[in-house]
Amino acid sequence: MLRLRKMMIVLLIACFGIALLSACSTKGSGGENAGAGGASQGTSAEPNKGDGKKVEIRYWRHDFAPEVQALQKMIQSFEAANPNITVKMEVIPYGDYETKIRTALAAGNAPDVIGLDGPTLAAYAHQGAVIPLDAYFEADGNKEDIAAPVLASLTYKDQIYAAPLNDASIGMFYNKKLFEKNDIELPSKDPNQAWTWEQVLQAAQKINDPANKVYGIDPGWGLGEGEGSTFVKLPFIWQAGGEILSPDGNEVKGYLDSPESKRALSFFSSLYNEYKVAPKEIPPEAFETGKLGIVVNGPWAISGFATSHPDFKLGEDWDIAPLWKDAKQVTPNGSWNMAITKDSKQPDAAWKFVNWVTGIEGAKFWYQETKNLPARLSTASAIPELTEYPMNIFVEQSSKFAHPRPVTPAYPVITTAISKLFADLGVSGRNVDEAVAEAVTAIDKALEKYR
Amino acid sequence: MERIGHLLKWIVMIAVALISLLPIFWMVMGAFRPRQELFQYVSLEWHLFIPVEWTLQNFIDLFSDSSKPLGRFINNTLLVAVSVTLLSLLFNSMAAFAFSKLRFRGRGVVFAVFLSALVIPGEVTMVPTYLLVHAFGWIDSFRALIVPAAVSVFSIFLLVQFFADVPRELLEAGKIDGASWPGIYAKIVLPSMVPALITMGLITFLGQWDAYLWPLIVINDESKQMLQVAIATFTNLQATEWGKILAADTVASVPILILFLFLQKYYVQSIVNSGIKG
Amino acid sequence: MKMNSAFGKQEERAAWLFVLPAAISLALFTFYPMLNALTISFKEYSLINPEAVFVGLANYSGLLSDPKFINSLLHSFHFALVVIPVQTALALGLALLIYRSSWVTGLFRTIYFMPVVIAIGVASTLFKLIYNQDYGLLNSLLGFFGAGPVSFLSDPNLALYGIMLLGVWKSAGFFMIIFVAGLNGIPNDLYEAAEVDGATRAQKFVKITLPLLRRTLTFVIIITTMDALKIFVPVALVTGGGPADSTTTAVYYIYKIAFQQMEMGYGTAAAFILFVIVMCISIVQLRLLRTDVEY
Repeated sequence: MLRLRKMMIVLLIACFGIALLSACSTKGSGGENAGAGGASQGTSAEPNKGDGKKVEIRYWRHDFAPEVQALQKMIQSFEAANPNITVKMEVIPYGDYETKIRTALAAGNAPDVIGLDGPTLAAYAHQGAVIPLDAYFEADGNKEDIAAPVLASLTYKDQIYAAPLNDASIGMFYNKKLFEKNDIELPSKDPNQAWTWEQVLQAAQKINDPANKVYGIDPGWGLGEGEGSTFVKLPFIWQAGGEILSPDGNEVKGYLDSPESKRALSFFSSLYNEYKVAPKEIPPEAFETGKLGIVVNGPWAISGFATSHPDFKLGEDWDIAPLWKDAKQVTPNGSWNMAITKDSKQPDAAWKFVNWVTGIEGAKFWYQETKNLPARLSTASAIPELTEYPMNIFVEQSSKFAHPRPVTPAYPVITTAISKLFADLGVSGRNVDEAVAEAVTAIDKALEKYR
Repeated sequence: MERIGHLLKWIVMIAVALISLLPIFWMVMGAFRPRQELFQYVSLEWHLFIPVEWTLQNFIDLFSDSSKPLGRFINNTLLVAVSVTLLSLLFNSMAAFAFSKLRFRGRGVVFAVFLSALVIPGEVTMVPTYLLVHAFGWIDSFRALIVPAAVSVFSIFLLVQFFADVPRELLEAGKIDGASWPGIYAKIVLPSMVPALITMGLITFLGQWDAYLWPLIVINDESKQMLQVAIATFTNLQATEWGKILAADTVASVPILILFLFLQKYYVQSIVNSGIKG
Repeated sequence: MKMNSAFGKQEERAAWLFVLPAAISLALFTFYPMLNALTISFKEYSLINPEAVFVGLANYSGLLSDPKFINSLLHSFHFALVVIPVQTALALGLALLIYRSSWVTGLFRTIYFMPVVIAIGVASTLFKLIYNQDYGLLNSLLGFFGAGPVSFLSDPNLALYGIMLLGVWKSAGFFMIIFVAGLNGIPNDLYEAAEVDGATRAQKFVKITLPLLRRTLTFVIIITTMDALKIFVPVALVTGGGPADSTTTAVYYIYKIAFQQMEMGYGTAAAFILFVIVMCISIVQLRLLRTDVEY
């Protein structure tokens, strides 16, 4: 009996040990109030020792060094201008950002402000995970200054649910050396003189040299999954004159399976299977190292290449042309935004911060720091380099040819179905009708819930 | 015949050894290559494996980024991994001792229930577990990483394997000499099972050293983040910094390899002798 | 021999105390969340909106007619059916080669165990680079032997084998060590007696080694089966389920449904279908491999 009691004591000590250990570790890192307290404590206004009420805004976003650094500067200036508000930014690896946000939302423990990717907005709004910002925009959000297609992509059921950090567009990036080596006429830099699909295909055919591991084109960021990949592939469908959904967002039948959409998908498939100018597997850093003639990419890549491959120079080794066209010239739009969650106990202060970053002055600073395509008209007109090559291509495209992705709570299903569709066509050369029918069924099932 | 068999045996052994080592070796060497060299060599030649131009740049980049204090992440990870390993050595070996050596009603049923915990994928219970940990107020605290990981059915199952080899007669002899069950556990079973315990401890430690998704979810404060989560940030939408990733992977792997090489003489080699003698 | 009842009672009480901490922890951090998940599986539950609607068995019936889910299950079974025998045979084969102690076998044991020590995330990243069709180490080596190129990342018929290879590379060494311990537990005099009787190597292996390794084998097969049917991390990191869903295994599918599409109820129901299947397989395996040693 005595031994058993002894054992119990050992157990107790062990349990105590756990508690102590973890207590120490919390203390060890400063004991910030966002610590063990969880949502209610972490986000609520806590009286500061002494004067006034100090509010802490928690803000989560995905990790991307140049943008995070820009935000750190903006947080500093914001805190200086609003001494009673502090902002605690936490950055999360891109790949699992959504998983983390969603788990926190499930527990009612989400931060006040989150980074929100355009196409997920409707799902978040539909589930009440983020709050409408219309009243804030009316008061001091300068809504009229936001480009109309961008605003449309942030509106769900007539309410605005996010403030845009920036817009995005993509162009045709080409390796100038490979073009010159193969005697291909260079495409125009004029945003209104986009190449047609046929011109692009011809150039890709001339460049393509698989024996020497040089490929013609990567038409849409490979064949993997992910929103980025869907973002750059959808324009094919729009360019052919097709659509994903009906204008009201309720129907997929008759749109994704229209003859126009199918023509786009057949063309995409032919690049991989018939003409074999697109590699099913892309070597790492293929474009930057001269192994790939043509890619699609956005303005962010300009500074990205400059840092990662300083010897690969814009204007010498590579250039940017407007994104190709078919029946129509269409480019995708929409990017990352800031939204306020339902879990925020101080939406007013949260808005102050959101508006500081995405408002008229903030947007200019954001452009200077990140070179992302501005979502605000005032930024576009205030900064001269936006009217010059290469940024003018993206700016003009986004004002003339932009097409938002479908705004529907079913979008997470749509993006998966679309990447599967394109992968099926590219990788396996599947029959277009069959593959499209499968995607339509999947999307239709998802839309049913929201009709 | 015998000689051919012998030769074949050696060929197989060496081939498997090369396959085991090559990827690791390629990683370490890749970490010392400048960026442009990384994917340059495609035919079988010396430089496929050995850098032409050795550089420490990847490591310098890795450790000079003040927004990602790698040393701190390693410390955090060590603290959590060591705590979990110590606790799990105690709790799992206790349970394994009971299951393998003690007689009690419902033993089979309880063990079966335990084993069923192995079947459910952790990704599925992640959200309910998060809710629980949140209710305890453990979000953003190492408690959320340490406490739920302290008991592992896999480890219990593994230890039961080895404990089963301890002859019960030995325990009963101890019993007749007046030792209590805790005494027998501490004085007879544990000392004879050091290799098995080290095996389990190493696997537990590795599991924590590798942990990614759970720490990503429950730790918000970057200064408390774990190593693998930090490494994951080198892959982003815009570009993947392969040189930095290989360097980070090397930094994450080499200390463990060294720890393993140090420990292996205590268990990879001596697990052999743990067999019947107990 | 029978214990007196006081002794037995005391042993029983001690046993429960020994099991208690593990039982509490499991009840709290595994079974309670599991029960929660089970209730979620009967609901239409959006991940980001805790207000859920009870839908009975709708999720389950939907899954049984969901070709994508069925496919993902088939991928998991395909994976398991190859990995279980191959990895177990390889681990046992290696163990047989090196289980006797000497400095050489010690060296090889250490080398074979090294992949176990590499983090699965690190190993996945590495293999993704090594598998690259044009610039990967694998095809450079195959090219030297006049073979290849093998497109583990872009050929839907091969991609799953790429994941298998990674899995076996990473885990075989661990099970080898388990086998080494098991092999050394077999008393040498049994072999000596068999030799006196003129038994061949193969006879000794079938008549002595295998039967006496049964408990070890059971452990290895059960654990390998569960790991194989739950394969997730390498899929997520190396292929992302592609190309064209050819490596989308059950757990990867569940993760996608629950976290990317936010249909937590549906995803959780899928997990419980998987749970029942794996449970049944494990029970059958335990029956087939029933050993004289009781657990």
